[in-house]
Amino acid sequence: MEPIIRMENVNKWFGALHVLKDINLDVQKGEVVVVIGPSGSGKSTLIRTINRLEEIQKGRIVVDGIELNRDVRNIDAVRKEVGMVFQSFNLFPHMTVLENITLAPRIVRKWPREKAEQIAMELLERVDIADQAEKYPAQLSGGQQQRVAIARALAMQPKIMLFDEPTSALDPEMVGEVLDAMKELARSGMTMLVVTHEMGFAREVADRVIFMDMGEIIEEGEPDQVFSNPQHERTQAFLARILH
Amino acid sequence: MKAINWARENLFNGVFNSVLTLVTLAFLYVSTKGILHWAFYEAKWSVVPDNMRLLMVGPFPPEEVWRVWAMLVLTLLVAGLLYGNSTRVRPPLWMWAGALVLYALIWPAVFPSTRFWLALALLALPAGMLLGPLVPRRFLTPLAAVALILLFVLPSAVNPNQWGGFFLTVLITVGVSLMAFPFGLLLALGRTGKLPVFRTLSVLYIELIRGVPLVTVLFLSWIMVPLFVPEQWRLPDLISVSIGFSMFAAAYLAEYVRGGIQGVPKGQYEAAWALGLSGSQSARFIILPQAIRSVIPALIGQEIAIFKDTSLVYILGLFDLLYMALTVTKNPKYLGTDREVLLFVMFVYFVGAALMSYASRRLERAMGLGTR
Amino acid sequence: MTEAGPTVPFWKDERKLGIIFQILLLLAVLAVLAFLSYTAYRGMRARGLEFSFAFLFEESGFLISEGVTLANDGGGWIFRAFQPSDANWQVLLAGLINTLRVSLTGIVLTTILGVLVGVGRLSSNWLVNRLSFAYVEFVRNTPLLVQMIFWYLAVFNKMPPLRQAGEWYGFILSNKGMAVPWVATTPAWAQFSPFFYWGLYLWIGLWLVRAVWKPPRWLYWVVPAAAWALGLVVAGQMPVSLSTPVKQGFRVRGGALLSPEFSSVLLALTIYTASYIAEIVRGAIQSLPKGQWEAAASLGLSYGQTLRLIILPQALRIIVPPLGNQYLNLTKNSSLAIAVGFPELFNVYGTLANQTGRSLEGVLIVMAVYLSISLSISAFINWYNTHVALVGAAR
Ligand SMILES: Nc1ncnc2c1ncn2[C@@H]1O[C@H](COP(=O)(O)OP(=O)(O)OP(=O)(O)O)[C@@H](O)[C@H]1O
Ligand SMILES: [Mg+2]
Repeated sequence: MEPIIRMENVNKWFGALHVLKDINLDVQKGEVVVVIGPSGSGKSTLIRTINRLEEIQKGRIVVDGIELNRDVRNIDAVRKEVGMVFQSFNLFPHMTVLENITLAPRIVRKWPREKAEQIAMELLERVDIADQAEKYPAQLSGGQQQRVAIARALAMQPKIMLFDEPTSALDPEMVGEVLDAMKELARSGMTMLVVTHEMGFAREVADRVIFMDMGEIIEEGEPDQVFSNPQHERTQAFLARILH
Repeated sequence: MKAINWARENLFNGVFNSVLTLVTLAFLYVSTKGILHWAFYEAKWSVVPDNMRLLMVGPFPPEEVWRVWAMLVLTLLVAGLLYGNSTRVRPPLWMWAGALVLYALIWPAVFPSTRFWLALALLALPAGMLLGPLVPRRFLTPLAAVALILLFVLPSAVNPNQWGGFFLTVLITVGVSLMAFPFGLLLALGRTGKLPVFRTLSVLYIELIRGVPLVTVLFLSWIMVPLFVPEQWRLPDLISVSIGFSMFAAAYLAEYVRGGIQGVPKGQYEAAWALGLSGSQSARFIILPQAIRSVIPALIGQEIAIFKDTSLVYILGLFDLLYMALTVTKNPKYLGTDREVLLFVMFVYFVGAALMSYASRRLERAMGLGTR
Repeated sequence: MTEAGPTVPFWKDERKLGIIFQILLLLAVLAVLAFLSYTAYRGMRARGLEFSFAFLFEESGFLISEGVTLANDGGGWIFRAFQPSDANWQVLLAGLINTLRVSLTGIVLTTILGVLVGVGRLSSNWLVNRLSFAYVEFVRNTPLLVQMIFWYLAVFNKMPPLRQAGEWYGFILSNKGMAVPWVATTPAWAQFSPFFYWGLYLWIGLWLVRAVWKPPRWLYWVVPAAAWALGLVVAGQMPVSLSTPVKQGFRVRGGALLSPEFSSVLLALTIYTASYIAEIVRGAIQSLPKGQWEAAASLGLSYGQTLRLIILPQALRIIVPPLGNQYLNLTKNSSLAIAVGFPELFNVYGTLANQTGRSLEGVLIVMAVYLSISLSISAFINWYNTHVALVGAAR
């Protein structure tokens, strides 16, 4: 089957800094891929190239059959299909929760307000915060904000969801509620690319774990295999550090 | 007892402060004695009410002055309606009382025909606030649009060369702000954007304008704009001067908005792009609303500056408040009343500017919600 | 390179779109400029005018009420009072010198007043505090132009004639203006002046050679001081003295007489700008962490000592850039003097434009001059920011 994300020999530099080195990665529809690796290894950069928040200098990326090149039509098309959740939530502080969620469907997908709001309420229901719809982001807890961010991304009805350390900015007691929402999403068959250090989450829902270091994919495989029996010594060193 | 304690704590705590208090009191006594004597015994304050129409509307034909009144009433009414509709507050009691007191105070100074309009104007704002909640939301936009059209139509029956006085001052303030705002936004976006040519042009424009005095820009446009249009349609000076004024104000506005834009975190752009919004959509829905909100106090400060700077059109011979005031003092009947009239001009400007800065402080407090 | 491929048309290529937009923008701006110049040219021709700067070298033929200019008296270029037989560029120069004269004096005075009021705003003395507040609020909320005209028409024009004028400690206020004490040269100046100038030249020379040889610090003081001391010895008498104005019939003798126009402009600019400087000073002082006050107090310093030794030096670093901006505003605002008839640059331009009809050329020159003044002041602020403020902050 044709993979929904295909990266071939992807290379990226920030000035002289070589951040992504010959990345080859295929993600199948419905697959949940967890990316781990030390700080600065290029995890964020990797997933940000998929919705073109970062431009690549060499190689090619095809998302759901759309070639991600400098054609603005393709960039727009890919961004409509790919949702993203950030470490720092990035909710729009001047809009209510409901406005945050309905904004993009209304102006990008051109849905009427009623339809957008109805779908927004369903999504809020799904992430369990329907009662907060009229509040402003600043009035919510971190965990609630991140669930709103997930609902906001889902409102565009994406085929792929990207998560960049969605729980790292949260107080420990709020991590669970966000992970639950993500697990529920994974079970519903969404294609997901998740950068996270939550090993429990990876073991439970990931189909595949990718270990990155210094801009390269060092090792990949099923969670059990990577966590319990890492092949590469850099993976071993990293896991030894993180699991204690 | 209390008073003595208070004085001891606030005026005479320590040798230095005691001396300072005495010196200041002496200075106040010397300087205000003469001034107060003049103000109460020598000043001919009657010059102000006697020439109120000239000061307020200048050479506007007296039989057409109702147009200005109607504009004032309309503006206040619609402002009240919109405010009342958005926050559902009843007009506070002090507003009614204030209107009454003001009316009683001004009553003797105005002509019988104006008394009617004055009453309407004073009641328009509280009445609008009272009616606001009763108007269905979907009527508001058409209502405001009709009011706006009326505001354009009402004065247009009178030749712009006959607009004058405080009316002209306010018109220029509003007109210049409206014209400068979009241009200023564009310059701010250009200066903060990543397109080098756009950025360079914006920077050049902003720095060039900010490097020269306003009066030279006004002169330049006053000389140049008439050169650009064919001889047969003579533009009123008001238009050419306002264009120059707006181009000047836009450069300052752009700098304030730039400050706001630079304060919006990068994550906001990324979230907008990730949702599929285009560059202009994210500017319009995400970046500019936040940027402008964060610099509203500075923008109102700029608004006050524009208001004060309208006095410069006097130099170009437009009949603004200052011009009319100086005209009044040239009337043989009122010769030598420069102090009274100029103090009145200062008072009017002071009240206008103070009101704006009061509104700014209120807004700042009211906007606690929804900001980070 | 991403394989953009031949399939991406240029109007859909992200990068090319940016370039195309900018080229179009540039073309549009150029087109507008070209159109404006062309119509302006046509408009001027239709009115029988021609764009030219030759008028600068024609005789001006009019008088200005006060002003010094550069002129050739046959023996060389000297500064002397402007005369109607001088050329137009000389009258503009006289205007510029007047602008600089009123601006520089204003800058000195407004700084003093502004700092006083700014500190007064924070004073624990209720009276001083409220008074400073009222001053700032009133002055900031009324237009400078109205204040300037008020000083001129309602204050100086209403002063008593000189015969009845009041005198305070050597100041005489009358409808002739403000007479103030001033330094005057004595006969010994003739002998002293060469030493005075040589001291100055040497001092400037020391600054100039800094690039190749860095003189020790004390040399900057010792060299001019030595030259002047030598001059004093040779002259054997004080070369300057303080001259106080005294009334003598219809005239003032001694001191310096500032015209009512100059005085109104100076007072208006000083008082108006000081209200802004006061707010800058207050903001800077308040922005310093409370710990600084407490630390100083715990060392046993008094309020005044704390202010002078601890707070002001630190506040200075924050104050200088916005202060520079206020100096710039003051200089630009001096152009309002046209309303009271003080012949500074812009006012002189107004007269000149009336006389010669060269309003467009003239206003361009005037704008260029103001722009150069502004750019020099901004350059100084930038220099200060990179060399003083940041270095200090890093300490
Ligand atoms: N905009 C940028 N400009 C220059 N360098 C950058 C930029 N963004 C990231 N980098 C650099 O690229 C490298 C990879 O960054 P990236 O954010 O992808 O790492 P990461 O694996 O996500 O790390 P972390 O776990 O800390 O988030 C780092 O060395 C980082 O400093
Ligand atoms: Mg990261």
